[in-house]
Amino acid sequence: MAHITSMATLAKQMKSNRIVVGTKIPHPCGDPNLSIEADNTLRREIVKTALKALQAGVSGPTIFVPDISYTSG
Amino acid sequence: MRLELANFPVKDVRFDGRTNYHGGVLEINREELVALVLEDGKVVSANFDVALPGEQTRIVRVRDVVEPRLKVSGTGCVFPGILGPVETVGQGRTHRLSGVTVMTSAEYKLTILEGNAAGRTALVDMWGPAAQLTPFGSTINIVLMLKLRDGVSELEAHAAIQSAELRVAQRLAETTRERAAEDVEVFELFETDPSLPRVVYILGCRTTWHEPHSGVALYGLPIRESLPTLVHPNEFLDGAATSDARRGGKGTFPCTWEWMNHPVLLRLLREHGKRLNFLGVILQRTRFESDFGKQVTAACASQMARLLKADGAVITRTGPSGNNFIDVMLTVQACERKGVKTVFLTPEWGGREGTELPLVFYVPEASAMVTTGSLDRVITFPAPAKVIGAGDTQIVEITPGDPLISPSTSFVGDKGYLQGGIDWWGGTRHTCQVY
Repeated sequence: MAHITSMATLAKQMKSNRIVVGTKIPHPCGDPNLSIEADNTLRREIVKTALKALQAGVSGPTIFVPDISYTSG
Repeated sequence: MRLELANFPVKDVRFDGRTNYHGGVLEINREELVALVLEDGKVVSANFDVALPGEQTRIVRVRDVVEPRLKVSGTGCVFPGILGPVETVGQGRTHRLSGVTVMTSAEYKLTILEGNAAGRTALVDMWGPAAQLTPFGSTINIVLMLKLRDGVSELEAHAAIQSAELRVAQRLAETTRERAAEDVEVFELFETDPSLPRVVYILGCRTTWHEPHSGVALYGLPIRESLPTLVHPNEFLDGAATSDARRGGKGTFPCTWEWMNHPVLLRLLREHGKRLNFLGVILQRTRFESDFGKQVTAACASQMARLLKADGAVITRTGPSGNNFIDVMLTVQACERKGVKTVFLTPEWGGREGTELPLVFYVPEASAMVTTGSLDRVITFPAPAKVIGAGDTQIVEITPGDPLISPSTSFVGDKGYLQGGIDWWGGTRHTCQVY
């Protein structure tokens, strides 16, 4: 299982094995501040990271960080 | 910054004669104050009542509480940015009517019908088990009852309720202007013995960026996604921090009275120069919605503590939110890693039985914590002899969407039903026992 969440620290504490860092609690897989095109690129990157995480062998809670930038905290 | 807080204790409140304070008795001319409140066209009706400690009285639809204070010298006014210009407060002389509150019970037509942003109400009992759990069971409460006109927006409702209660409080405190105070306490962060431990207070407050009012305002400005800011503790004593006046219930936010009578601030001020060197308050907005935002606020707050050369930090939070809890825990961790020792003061979850996980998130650096009790304690509310409040006092909604309660009867609830029922800052008389 790959777990996309904006709360990676919490997911790690809860022993989730494959943690993918999403954007924000209300929209973990996207960013409404971006244009539709940029948002699509960002969403694709998060999902691709999740697919990579699924294929990775892990020995405990591991955080996978998508190559994205944040527009707000 | 030297503030003289002059105390005018109130032992009785009467609705007769002209508005006047004399010998501990506050007389209120009801017609005068009703007219003052009705100057705002958003208020369609207003009335006053009073509730005394020990009476079998229940107050309903409570949304905010304030203490009457008046600036008699020094810059600015009490409630700066709301009742007057934005001028830095916390110096000069301020009068307070102590032992008495203006408690606002208000009714309006909600436009947000559910969720955290919706307006909500609280109860105050003047006797019985619930009176022990909040500061307002032992104050004389002047209940301001308001009905707002239909069609007000949520933010207009906040502004109307707040404006009414603050202007009433200011008018009542005005009665002390020419009077001699019973006692005066001086608050100042004077230069002190350099060997005393340097202590900063990191005051975490939960605010939301997306709600009509964020929950906490500084100088009238609702704090949204801001980074920490440094505030002199005296500023809070002059009403620089105020709360969302629409949301009383579920103990979610400390109300304005609690910001003005903040127990941690007052204690640190009183210990300054004796047991410690109080450096000031880092007001930290919490509840960022990504790990990234949480790390930024933790880094900034801890960096501010380090730049102040703090040896230690007292850290508190507000709001029953697992989200903001993470920000605060990360701040504890960031401070400890920078060599600033921390004490974290917080109520705990744990469910009505007290058997569930008390904290949603923890860091190994959080090695000194103080509990202020459970968020979920069950209370059997007894039937009152009298119910005071705006609107229909037979059926009351505490949180939109929750079952309605009948305040004139006995019912089971929890301490979140009470105004000030959840102790964010250790201001109540709870103790705990290991068993």
